Amino acid sequence: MTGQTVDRPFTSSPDAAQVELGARLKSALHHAFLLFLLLLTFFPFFIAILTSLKSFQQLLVNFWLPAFPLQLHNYVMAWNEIYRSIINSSLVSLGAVAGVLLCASLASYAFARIDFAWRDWAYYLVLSLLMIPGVLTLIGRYLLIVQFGLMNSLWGLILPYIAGGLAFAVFLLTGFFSDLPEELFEAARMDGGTELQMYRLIALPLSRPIMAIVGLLTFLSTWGDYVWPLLVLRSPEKFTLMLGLAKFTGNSQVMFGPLMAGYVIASVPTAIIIILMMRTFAGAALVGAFK
Amino acid sequence: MSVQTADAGLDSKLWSGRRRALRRNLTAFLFLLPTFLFLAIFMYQPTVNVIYHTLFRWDGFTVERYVGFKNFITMVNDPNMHIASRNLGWFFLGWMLQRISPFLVAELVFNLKRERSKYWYRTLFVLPMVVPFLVTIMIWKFIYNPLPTTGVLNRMLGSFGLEQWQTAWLSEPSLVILALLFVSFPWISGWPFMIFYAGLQQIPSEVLDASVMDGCNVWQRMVRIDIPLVVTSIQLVAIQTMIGIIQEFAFVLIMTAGGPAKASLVPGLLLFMAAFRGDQMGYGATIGVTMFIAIFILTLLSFRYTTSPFARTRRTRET
Repeated sequence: MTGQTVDRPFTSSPDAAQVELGARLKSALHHAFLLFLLLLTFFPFFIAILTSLKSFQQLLVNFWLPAFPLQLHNYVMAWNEIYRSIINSSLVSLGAVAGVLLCASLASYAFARIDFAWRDWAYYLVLSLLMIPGVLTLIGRYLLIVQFGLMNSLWGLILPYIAGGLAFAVFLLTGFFSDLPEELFEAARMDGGTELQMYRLIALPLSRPIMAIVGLLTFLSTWGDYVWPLLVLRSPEKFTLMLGLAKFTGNSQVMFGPLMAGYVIASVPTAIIIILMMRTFAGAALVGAFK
Repeated sequence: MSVQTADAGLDSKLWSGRRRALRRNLTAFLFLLPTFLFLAIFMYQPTVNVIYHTLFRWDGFTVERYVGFKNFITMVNDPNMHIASRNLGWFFLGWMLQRISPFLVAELVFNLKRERSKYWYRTLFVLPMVVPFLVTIMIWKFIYNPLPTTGVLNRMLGSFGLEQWQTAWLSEPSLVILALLFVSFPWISGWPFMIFYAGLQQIPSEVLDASVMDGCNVWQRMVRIDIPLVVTSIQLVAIQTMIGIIQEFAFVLIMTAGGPAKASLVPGLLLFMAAFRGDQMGYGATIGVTMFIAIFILTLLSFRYTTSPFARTRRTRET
């Protein structure tokens, strides 16, 4: 932007032509460097996708280029191996999202809109949990799950996930709810509306974008978790996706094709979610919320 | 008589005010109940339980014997802990640089002239975020595969005629940390890149124009204008990274499980093994509490010596 506008008045002089050439060269280098970085960034994923379409023989003979015929049945094999865990992961993540959204929105409404005794203290009590690292509570939560008889049950994942996501969700939602204009609530109060009605009919409909963000974040963090399912789940038919993939990896020392196909399939749901996030203004708001 | 009624009126008004307050408290209590139930059971109780049991020899269920600070002494003298702390130091340095360096790439993209190319580079650099972190790790395990025929890196060395360099990258004690640090090279991770880029976009265009007028070159502008103005985003990424690194172990668990022969242990993995593979819950709890204290102190320090990353949110909200 800068170089060109400043240089243009002098384009007639021979010096300026050189300056122009220099600027072009600089811009070409600039692009070349960025493209090189992109190439390096995408290289592992290219290789994974290429490999997912090859048999082991094809991989040995031709490592770097696509090999024909494409082995689409790798994807069928991978799907058969992990579809069960995809269902489990979806149940867990959706359950966690629903629980976090329901509890956090109720609590945040109270923090933001109801003037009750010890409000600040209660709020700090929730926020202080943001300082507690997950690894500290790992042992304690594990013992609880054992005592509650929730070992090897998907509830053993969902309930702690809800608790784990609440503090941050309350933090985001309380901020949002307290920014809603007071007149809306005043008018409803005049008409004799109860707090529950105001929560349901005013606060919730107005907070769809932020609720979407909280939901997506909860979904992504629970979908990608590995350690907690590893501790809680025992039988393979209960495994979540990350466990399923890890087990698949362990089983198949030589089956690189189906393995990589599994990785590709596992990336589809997160891809859809992140693209949704970027597409809606949620993406921009999300970055704003963190700054 | 009239005085009495006025009194009664005041009294009843006071009373109804109190009743209203009581009702408000009750409503709020009901709104908060589900959240606090979850937090009490799955957050506060485990935290207190774990901190309490650092003072015990404990397998989590039956054996429970008070040992004072013996767990902490064991930890300080544990040779595994020494390895783990040293590795954590390397990961700390390496990952911190990795998470901050996307700032330079964000600058490179931000300084492009055409909006369209900015848009495309931005989208493409953020795109790898769609792959779950664990899947990326597993793909890198394939890259480091020890066989000369199927390992991506070994195969690459082979095709350049460097067969003598082919090796089992994750099984060499001297190489394993370096190999782990190189995972996801060139480290332009989507999330920090996004935060940095958004920070650059928020610099007022008048400031940028003024810098051009004053003949500022790109490098001067970056050091004098961009970095001071986006320092809050940098801090945010730094703090998040710091807290993440100290407790991270799923990464090492999947890549090497701490091997070869404990060469790539980290404290989190040590906790995991002590508590869940060795039945030493008390010792695991001790490691966990130590990590918590470390995180707490580091967070406080970073708040003290820099401005709060949340201060900016507050300011922007007011304006």
